[in-house]
Amino acid sequence: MTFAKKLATGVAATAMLVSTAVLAEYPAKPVKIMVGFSAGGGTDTTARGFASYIHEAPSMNGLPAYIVNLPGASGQKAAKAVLDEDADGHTLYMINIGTFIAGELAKGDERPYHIPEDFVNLGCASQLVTSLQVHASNPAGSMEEFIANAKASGKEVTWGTSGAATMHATIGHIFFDTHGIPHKKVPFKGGSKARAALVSQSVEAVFGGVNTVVGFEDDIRALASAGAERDPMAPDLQTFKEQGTDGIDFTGLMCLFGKTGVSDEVKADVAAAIAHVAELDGYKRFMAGNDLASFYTDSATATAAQDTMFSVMGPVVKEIIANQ
Amino acid sequence: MQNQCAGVESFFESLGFLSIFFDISCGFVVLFNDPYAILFVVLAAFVGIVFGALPGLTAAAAIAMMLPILIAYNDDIGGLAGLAFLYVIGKSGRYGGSIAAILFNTPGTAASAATMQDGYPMTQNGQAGKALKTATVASAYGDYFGEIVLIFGAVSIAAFTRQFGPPENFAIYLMAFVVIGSVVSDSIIKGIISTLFGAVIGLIGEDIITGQFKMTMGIDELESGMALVPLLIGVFVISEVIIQAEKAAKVKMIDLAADKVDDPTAHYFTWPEFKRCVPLMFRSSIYGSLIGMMPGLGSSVACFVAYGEEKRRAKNKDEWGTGVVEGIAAPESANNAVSGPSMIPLLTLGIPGSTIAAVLIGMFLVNGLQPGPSIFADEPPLFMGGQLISPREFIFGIFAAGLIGIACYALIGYFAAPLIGRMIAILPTQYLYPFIFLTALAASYSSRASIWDVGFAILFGVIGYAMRRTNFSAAAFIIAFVLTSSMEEAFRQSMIISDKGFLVFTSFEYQGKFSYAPIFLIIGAAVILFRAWSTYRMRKAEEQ
Repeated sequence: MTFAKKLATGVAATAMLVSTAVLAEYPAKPVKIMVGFSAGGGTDTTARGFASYIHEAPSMNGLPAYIVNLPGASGQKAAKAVLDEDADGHTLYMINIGTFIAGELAKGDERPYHIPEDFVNLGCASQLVTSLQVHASNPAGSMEEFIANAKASGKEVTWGTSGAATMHATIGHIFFDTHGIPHKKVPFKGGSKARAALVSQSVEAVFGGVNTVVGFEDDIRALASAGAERDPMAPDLQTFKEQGTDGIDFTGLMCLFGKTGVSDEVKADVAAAIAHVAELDGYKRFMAGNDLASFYTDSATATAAQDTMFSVMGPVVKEIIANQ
Repeated sequence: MQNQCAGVESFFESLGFLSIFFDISCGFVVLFNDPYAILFVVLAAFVGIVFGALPGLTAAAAIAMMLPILIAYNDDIGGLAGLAFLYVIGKSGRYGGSIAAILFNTPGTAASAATMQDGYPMTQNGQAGKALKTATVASAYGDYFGEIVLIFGAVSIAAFTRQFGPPENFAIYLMAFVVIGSVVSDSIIKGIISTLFGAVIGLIGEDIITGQFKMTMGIDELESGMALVPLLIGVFVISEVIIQAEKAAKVKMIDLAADKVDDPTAHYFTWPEFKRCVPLMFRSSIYGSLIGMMPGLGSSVACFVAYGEEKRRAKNKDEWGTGVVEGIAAPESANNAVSGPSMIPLLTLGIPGSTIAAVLIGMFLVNGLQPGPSIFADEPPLFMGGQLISPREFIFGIFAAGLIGIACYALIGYFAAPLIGRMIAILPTQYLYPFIFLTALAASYSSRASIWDVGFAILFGVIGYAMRRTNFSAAAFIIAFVLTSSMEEAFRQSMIISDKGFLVFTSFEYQGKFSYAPIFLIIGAAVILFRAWSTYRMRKAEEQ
């Protein structure tokens, strides 16, 4: 075989391999879902529940997903690890958009990435809903009464939350500032510690997830929940909007993200998989068992919610950082 | 939620019995519904005995190496299996130390150092079998005593500590620091330096209030703080490997052949001996339980307190040290009675009372449970090992695992302790410790898949070696490391809550509620004054 023939054969073979790779359906191997928090938390629970059922989605070619926990820096370590991988859709990132956005905003100019530019929201399978909580002995039976009592007392309201500049913290600031109530925030390391502070009456109120009230109904009471609609897991709890407080109609949608540059095929297949899994009875039961809701939010709606949260939370987080 | 305990609930409701009996029965139901948990309890009983009996290696070393594996397979085996495994290793490891103390005249763990004083002379007298069986019975007795204290004590204390907020928490942490620093080491200064060193390492990471990073030296791995696993592996495993490499010597074991002794009871702990030891084991278990409840003191203190106190009370005190069963029964029941109550500060306040409890925090968090008074809640449910159970059921499942684990290690020890001793005596140390070293490095890497963690493990191995050679306290270092971030958090939160600055810690009131903080500060101050006074008196007595 002459050199020219060898070259031609090599080129043809390479071209065939490349074209085969290009035509290969997504996913070609099990999908890795990165979680930026330790096993056992809300994000991890949702990710593991989702990963258990994803192979049942027709768009996933029967291939499973597996979870890799890479905790650190409020989930940013895992997010950065996703950006280090190829944009082929085989490494995805799960987080609720509230925590994701608050984490980026809290870093200010030193942010390690900018979510709208570096990540693509592929759809969401659950949500984290913020609520205003008070101790069971608090005389306020509603949000309006709480506001009235706080104003009447003329004192600063001491309130707790699960971190310095989280989605819950931002909503707390918006709430008190909107109503002109003097307040001071006490950040705790996680929602369960904030709840313990409320149980011990070391703080007067807490802004935390609706799910953290479950099991503590004798000690604490939720007065209002965030979101445009009531949380399906707490249908009796009125929203802030219903009780006359605007501007807190967003929730922490629990979404899957890919690196910017993923193909349209990946976007379509993952979106279809999320929609499919969210409707499965097994997934719904699993989520309900963990006091989390199961429902699908498509990429476009979730991306719009992200943009809203950036514009609402941005100035608040900036102010929080400036006052630290 | 699926109720795992429906059968036993109706039974106890019909009797109108104390709810605690329902809880522990429910714990057994949860445990026996989880085959992995049962399997891991039995496995832990054996692994703990072997690690405890290996001279130099401790239950904490075993746990440090097993933790990354258990976390990695947590979903597969279920959280109860993993936690029960670690909890039972702590118990069987304490017991295993007595085998090395009795057979090799080397304490397998610091907790069995006092056992050597009568255990080894008994072995020399041809009564190794009697000594080992005495240690087994006394350890199981003390452990059951401590477990009962834990089961009844934790729930009632947790109901009280629910009232504590950041100022009380800070005062308790400060009290724990003072107690650990001043009591854990021979020298108050060395104890406090060990504690402060642990605190400095514990401060590395993200600031809870501002979200900024502190002392990370630009290393990404340190942004979420120094990981516990490489620290534990360095201080407890690698430092021990270095010490063993220095010794480069095999343990020597006396021939245990029965025909060398005329006394037919030389290999049994007889009924009259047992009856004679029951009051002593009861008192020693009380010492052990009380010491176990104090954060940081642990088994090594308990065994010497019990040995010293019972020797002082004994009519035959001249015979102590020459090989009497009482000299084994007292320290062994005391050091194992520490195990259960050392969980009380962890479960009621979130403060680890021992290095083993410090490791358990990580395992609780992995399973979505925050150690503290709310851990005994009935909701929200946890999905573990195919079961949907409440946090309270889960905790009582661990207690049940402890009760079963004690029986397992007692049975294994009663019948196989001499065999385990013989196996260890013939182990080629030139292969054993290099194998342990490589396993330790692999475990360090696997906890976060980080090569930095391997480096940290080696670094803290060298630091741990230096600390041990110079009599600084590794236990104080580890506990302080674990406590520091929570203590800092409580301090910063208290200062935000306070309207009167630092006085929030000395005032009996904040946020319109009663504060217990000053009481804990007074206890801490009293402990350090008492310790300083007793040191002064001892020096004066020595001068005279």
